[in-house]
Amino acid sequence: MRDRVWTIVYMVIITAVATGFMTGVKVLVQDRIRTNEGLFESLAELYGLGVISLTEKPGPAQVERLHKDRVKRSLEDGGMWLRTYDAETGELQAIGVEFKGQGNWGPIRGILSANPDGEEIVGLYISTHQETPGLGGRITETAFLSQFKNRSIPKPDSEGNYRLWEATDAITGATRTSESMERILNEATRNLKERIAEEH
Amino acid sequence: MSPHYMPLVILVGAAFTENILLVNYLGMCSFLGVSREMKAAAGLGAAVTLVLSVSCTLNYMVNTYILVPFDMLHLQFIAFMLVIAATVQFMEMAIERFSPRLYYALGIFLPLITVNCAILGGCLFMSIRQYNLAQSAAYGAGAGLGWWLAIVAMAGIRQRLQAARLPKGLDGPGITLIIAGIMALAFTGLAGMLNIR
Amino acid sequence: MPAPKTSRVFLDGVWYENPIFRQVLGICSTLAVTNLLKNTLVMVVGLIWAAAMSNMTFSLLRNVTPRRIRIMVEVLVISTYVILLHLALQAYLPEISRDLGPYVGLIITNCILMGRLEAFASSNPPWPSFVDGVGCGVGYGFILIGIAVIREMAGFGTLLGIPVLGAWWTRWTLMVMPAGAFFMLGIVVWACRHIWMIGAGKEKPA
Repeated sequence: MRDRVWTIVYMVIITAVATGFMTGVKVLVQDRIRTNEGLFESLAELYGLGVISLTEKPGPAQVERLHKDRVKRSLEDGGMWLRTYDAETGELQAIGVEFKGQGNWGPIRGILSANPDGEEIVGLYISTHQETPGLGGRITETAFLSQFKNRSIPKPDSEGNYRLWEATDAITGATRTSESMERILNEATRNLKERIAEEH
Repeated sequence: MSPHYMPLVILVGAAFTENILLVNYLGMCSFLGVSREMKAAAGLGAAVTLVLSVSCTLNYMVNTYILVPFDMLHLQFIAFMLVIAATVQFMEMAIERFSPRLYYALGIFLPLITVNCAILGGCLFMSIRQYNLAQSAAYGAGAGLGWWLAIVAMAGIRQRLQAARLPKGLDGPGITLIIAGIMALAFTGLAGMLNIR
Repeated sequence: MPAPKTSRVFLDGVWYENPIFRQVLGICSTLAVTNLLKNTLVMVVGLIWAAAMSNMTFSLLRNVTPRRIRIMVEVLVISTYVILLHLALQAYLPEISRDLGPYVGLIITNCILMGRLEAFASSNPPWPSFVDGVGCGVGYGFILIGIAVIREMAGFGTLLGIPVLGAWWTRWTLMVMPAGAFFMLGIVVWACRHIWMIGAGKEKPA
């Protein structure tokens, strides 16, 4: 009987100690983690809106400053919309949307943006995904993403799809990721076009 | 939000097209250790299937009703492992009571199901893909069945291999891995037939 | 039981009782992460940390832990150190954490950790247990790194993401898929066991 009690007490103690320790550490680094995440989101938006090129890697202070100056977020019906204006003239340079879709292994999130007329893609950036590193994971590579810059948005086909990217332009060995990307990009393009049409 | 895959599709998919052992590499250690003998392999496979089905279901509930609402996701690993450990403990007691022969045959491998990466891995996949309750149960069952299939197939092959003359270095884990590679090749042919992600 | 010599403990972990080809533990992660060298390095570092720290901690608790809940306590100890690693990565190396987050969690299920807690730390003092953890981690590490170098070069032509083989190399994509992983590991295990057996005098070299 005493053994049983001790067993339970021990378990409770050790669980409490472990949980307390971990929660303590989490609280300590929480702010840092949140800052990191915020920086990551800001950086993703800067890349996605074409404010900085995909090969630039600005430091944290710079990211914060650039994001504050150049990116405007607005939460409207349909989701989060991003806009960037020219630094000198204040003219609207691009409108972007955050997209999220189901990839091969998990959700794929990113930002797609077009110029104010909605005729041309200004930027594409993939911020999170869980695809196989080295195979589907290559959708985050600069070589892949930069092919979309300045690509003109085709007219919608008979089903209303924008066919921005065909899975045939695909990544070898990553068929299902490519198919998911095709679907996700088409959906994002449609979203963007509809939004831009509303603006006008 | 997970697309609405029918639970039955998930069950079949988890067993065949995305076999948790041959495609996701989970559950290798006990697979390599126990696949020598058919009876033990079949018994372990059944046990793993049961544990996977039950723990995926339970962990879905823990995740949805406790971890997420109370912002305790950083404790997800621990919470899942505790549920799995408890499930295995109960199963161990049940097997000891109803089939002492199986209990002895499985020996140390029974409590080791707790750390069979297939169990935790399966639960984590379930949580990442945001399956609902029915899908989680189906996934657990399917993954377990796939594992069972793989270990039984391997046991059958290895029993035949006893008549073969293998180089000493290859005997044991070496040849088992190579056979697993051939099986994995075969299962690669099934990939993509059913999408359960 | 007298405490074993530290150097012996270490060498056992690295070679004589190597977790991969002697104890046959930690196979799942070996197959999963070795398709890219970068993931492999993180996994190895993570494992050395977790093995050394959990071994030492559990050894400190070995005489007070009730037998019935031994496994749950082991799991708790292991999970704690892995979660700490995960938090540290998220806070101080966010890029790496973003790429490799799921793999870090799976360190918990690496059977080497549990296996060593049961086989060594539960009956040895803290310092040898710590060394055993490091030794097994290193033994695990050098095999994984060896396999990863071959798999990434053959399968992608790169190392750490940097192309090292030119365009003339036809990628053996099978190397980065499950079948290739199994074959590579099977061959490596074969080779290591053969060498080990020669060393142990059990088999004459051919």
